[in-house]
Amino acid sequence: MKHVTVRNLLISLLVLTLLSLTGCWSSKEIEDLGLVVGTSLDLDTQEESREESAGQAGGPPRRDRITITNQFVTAETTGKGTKNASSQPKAYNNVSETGDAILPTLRNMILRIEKRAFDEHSKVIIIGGDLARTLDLQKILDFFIREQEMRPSCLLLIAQNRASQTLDSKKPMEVPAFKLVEMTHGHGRTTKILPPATLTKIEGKLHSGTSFLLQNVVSSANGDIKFEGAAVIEGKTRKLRGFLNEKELEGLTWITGEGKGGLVKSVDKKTGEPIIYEVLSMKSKIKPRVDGNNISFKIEIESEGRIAEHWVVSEKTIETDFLKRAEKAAEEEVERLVEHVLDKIQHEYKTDVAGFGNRLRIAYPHVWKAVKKDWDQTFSEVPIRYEVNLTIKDYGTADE
Amino acid sequence: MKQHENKENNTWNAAQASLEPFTGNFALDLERVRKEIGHNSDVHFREFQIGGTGICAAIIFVDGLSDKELIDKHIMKSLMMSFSENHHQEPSIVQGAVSKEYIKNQVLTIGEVTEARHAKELASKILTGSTALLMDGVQNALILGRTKGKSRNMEEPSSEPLVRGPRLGFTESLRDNTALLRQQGGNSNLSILKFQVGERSKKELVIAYMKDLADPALVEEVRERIKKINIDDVPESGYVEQLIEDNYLSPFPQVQNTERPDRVYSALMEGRVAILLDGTPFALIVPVSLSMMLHSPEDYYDRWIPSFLIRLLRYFAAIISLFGPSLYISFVSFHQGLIPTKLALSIMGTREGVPFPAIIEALIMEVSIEILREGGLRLPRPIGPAMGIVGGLVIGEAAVQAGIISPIMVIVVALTAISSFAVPQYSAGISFRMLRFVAMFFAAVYGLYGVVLFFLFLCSHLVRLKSFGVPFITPVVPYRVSDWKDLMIRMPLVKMRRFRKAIQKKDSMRKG
Amino acid sequence: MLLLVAFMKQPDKAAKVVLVGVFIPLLFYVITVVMVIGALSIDGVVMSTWPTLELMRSFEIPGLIFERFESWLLVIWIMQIFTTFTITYYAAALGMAQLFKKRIRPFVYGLVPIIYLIAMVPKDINDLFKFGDMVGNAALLLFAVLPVILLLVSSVRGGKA
Repeated sequence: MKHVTVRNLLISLLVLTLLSLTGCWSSKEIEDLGLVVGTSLDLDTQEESREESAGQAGGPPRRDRITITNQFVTAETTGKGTKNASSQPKAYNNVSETGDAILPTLRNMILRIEKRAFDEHSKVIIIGGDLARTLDLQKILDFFIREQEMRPSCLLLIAQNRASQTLDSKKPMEVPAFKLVEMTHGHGRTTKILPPATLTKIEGKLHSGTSFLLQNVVSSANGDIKFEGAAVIEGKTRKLRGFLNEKELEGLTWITGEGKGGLVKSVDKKTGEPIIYEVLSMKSKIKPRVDGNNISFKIEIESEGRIAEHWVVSEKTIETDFLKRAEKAAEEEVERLVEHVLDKIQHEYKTDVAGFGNRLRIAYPHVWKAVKKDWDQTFSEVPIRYEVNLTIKDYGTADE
Repeated sequence: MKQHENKENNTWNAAQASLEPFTGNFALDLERVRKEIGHNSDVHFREFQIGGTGICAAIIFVDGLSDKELIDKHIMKSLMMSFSENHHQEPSIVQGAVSKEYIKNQVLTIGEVTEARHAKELASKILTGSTALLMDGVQNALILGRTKGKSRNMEEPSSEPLVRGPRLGFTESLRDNTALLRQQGGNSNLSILKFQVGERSKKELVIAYMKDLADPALVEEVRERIKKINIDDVPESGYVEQLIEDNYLSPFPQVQNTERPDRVYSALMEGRVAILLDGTPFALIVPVSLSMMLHSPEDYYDRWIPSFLIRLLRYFAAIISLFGPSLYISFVSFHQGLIPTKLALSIMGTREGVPFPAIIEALIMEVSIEILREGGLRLPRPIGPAMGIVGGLVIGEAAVQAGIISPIMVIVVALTAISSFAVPQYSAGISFRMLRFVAMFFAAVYGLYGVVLFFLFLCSHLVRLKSFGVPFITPVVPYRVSDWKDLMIRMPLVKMRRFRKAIQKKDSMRKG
Repeated sequence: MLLLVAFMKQPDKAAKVVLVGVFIPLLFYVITVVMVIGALSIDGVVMSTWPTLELMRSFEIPGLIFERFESWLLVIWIMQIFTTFTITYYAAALGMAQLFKKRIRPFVYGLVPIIYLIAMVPKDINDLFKFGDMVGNAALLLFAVLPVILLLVSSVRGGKA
């Protein structure tokens, strides 16, 4: 009996010491946090600050300075407005800070906001076009990939103009970061939006030196934001190479076959009226072929869809002839898109952003090893053929 | 002078006199009995003469406790009226005396007749409700009948109501309860063993088991433990429970209590042992397992699909009642990244301006809920519900309005409170509620990690815990997959005709 | 695994149990590896320190009460560590107790500071990884090579068969 008591005492002592050892180490109440929901990175434009840092004699060599804007959502901004409904505050709180490395700049925000910045709900990182052009993305993103609090599911976007502007909104109840994330869900319904690019996906691509695309977002002066085409990141330099416009992005989506839905607006040859083909499913196969030293690719694009709208009043969709004609017209339209974008990425940007290299790697690993090093250059000279095959399965509830 | 002597005699001989055998001398014996219990005003001494013979006799009984009908019809009538009519020819009577055997065998129309040899024995019998008959010339006193006792009608057990199932519950009368058990099924294997517990006031206790199903070692263990009970008085089976349980430090009850005869009977049919105590409607069942605490007899009465789902739901409720607030605390104070952003935002919004950290908030709410529960229990029936509503409204609504508590915390606490009552065993529900506070402290210190730590502690405790030699979490550990059909799920009855093997070793097929 | 066999009730079933016991984690590990490489690509895996955790962190299932799962993974992981730790710890204490023919209790408590000190040996995370590899290799030596040698010794000495 005594033995048991002694043991129990020992156990409770152990537990107590355990508690006091590390008690409450990372406890932080949720209302004391400032959730960082979006981050934008821009090249600093204020020349005077640049000179200031350059003027410090004997300091480190001048670097490009980065302006970081964090979008905070705090207890105050989400407070349901029950207490002071009259003055409706904004739903977010943007804080900017400038510096030459990411984390020190972020830490300086402590000087400006009373809440503890909390990154786990970070949804989106927007990199300004200027910054992406001048700095290696790997360097910019290193902190975000390394940081434990940062989610690998965080999205990455490129802003054609100032990235910080995309985090601004005129509407009081709107949080731009959330809006951006939700807008990427539109990927399922249009070919003009890329599949969401998370940090996880980008990490591997940056490491392997593949070129890739990032969704481009444009902000207009009146505070509206819009997805417009894509930014091409060159694999070797890991810098922004240029932009694809919406049409080109559509073509690229057809090549990769990653679209889930979307429209093809073709023109009926006879009447010149538009016929709208809606994609129900999309598949594409990139087939590499190697003959000696010559590499070539063949893209087979297949799609099933329906006629969603047509202005050719004279024809009836119930007639197979017309359907065939519509199919043909849509196929031609897709071919045009594909051709256009291939020309652009092969000859203007000289970057393989559609994953041709990857297909080659899988099919001909040995060849790939040889060409891997200078793939983007090789890619620009490779002949690519394509074949588009669309099938119209139905025409909705009207057979006119 | 003589009186004085007598008194003196009385004092030095008091204890011995009561233990001295009866002499057969009516006046002396009666005097002794009177001495033993004479000061009790509710004990009646009725002296009379046996019908027509002039032999003195007396019956002694406690007013209200003994069976009046028995006294009037079977004792007085047969000894006075019928005796003179039928028995005056009897040789022993003719000789002017009366034979004990004759009275016992031919006169008294009573089933239960025993004898008492001295005043002390007799007194204790009388005081527990029997009727004593003293006759001149008969050495031993006869004890006739037994306690009529006051008992209520059998009602639906109020602590374990069911939608479907027998409406009969145990009462305070042990005899009724054993009768109920027998009535459950004509099973000749049902054994009922009688014990007496309590040092100063004796109480009858009965253990029941199925001769062919219960493990003899288990029955022996139960007998041993009951024999070891050494306490002055056993007012309720809760005393027995606490005195025979394996580990008094454990937060879990290791004995199940129930008011339902069907529950007891089905436990017996699983090879368990039931313990019934006189004076309480609560029977005890041993051994128990954790899963039993979460089962309800209704699980078997309803069809298997609803029972299956309801049982799963109950496990879920048990988990909520154990971990609900602690998970909330760890999410709100430690792992804000784990909850969806929108939820995090709305929690943030509602917690704005709340002056306490989540743990204090949770403690305030949990403690006040417990106070409400305890208070509600004590409130007189008519004002109970009203006060409950007022309490709930005041604590919940006003606290939120005043900004002391966040509304989400109220939801969490209310959900946990309700969940803890979804556990069919009230005593198990209590242990979950206690452990909830411990879990909350762990969560407040370590977050989710602490909750896991607590869970591990709990698991190690549960694994070690035994109820009458049977592991508490059978059949999870030691695992017996075949019994999992009746653990968290409930398979169709057709599929589970087997018993739990841990309890039962002889005959593993359910007959029928 | 090998230690437990000695304490089994039915040692003849040991082979089967051990096989099943090895097979289940093997299956899980293979699934994990396939999933991680499939989701992060080899380049991504090479870059991250904790690929599996990275994978769990990149998951996000909207609409549930919990969107993310990495803490749950850690929860399960802690339990797993706890169970393996208790078993090996007990085995160690028991082994020592049998070796020195003493009661087990002093060893159970005595091992605590020793393990604590050993845990403090690796200075940084790279050291830790190296240490882990070393322990793994040592295990190979202890559980694959040593039993063979012991078996040889016993057959050479010609024990009681």
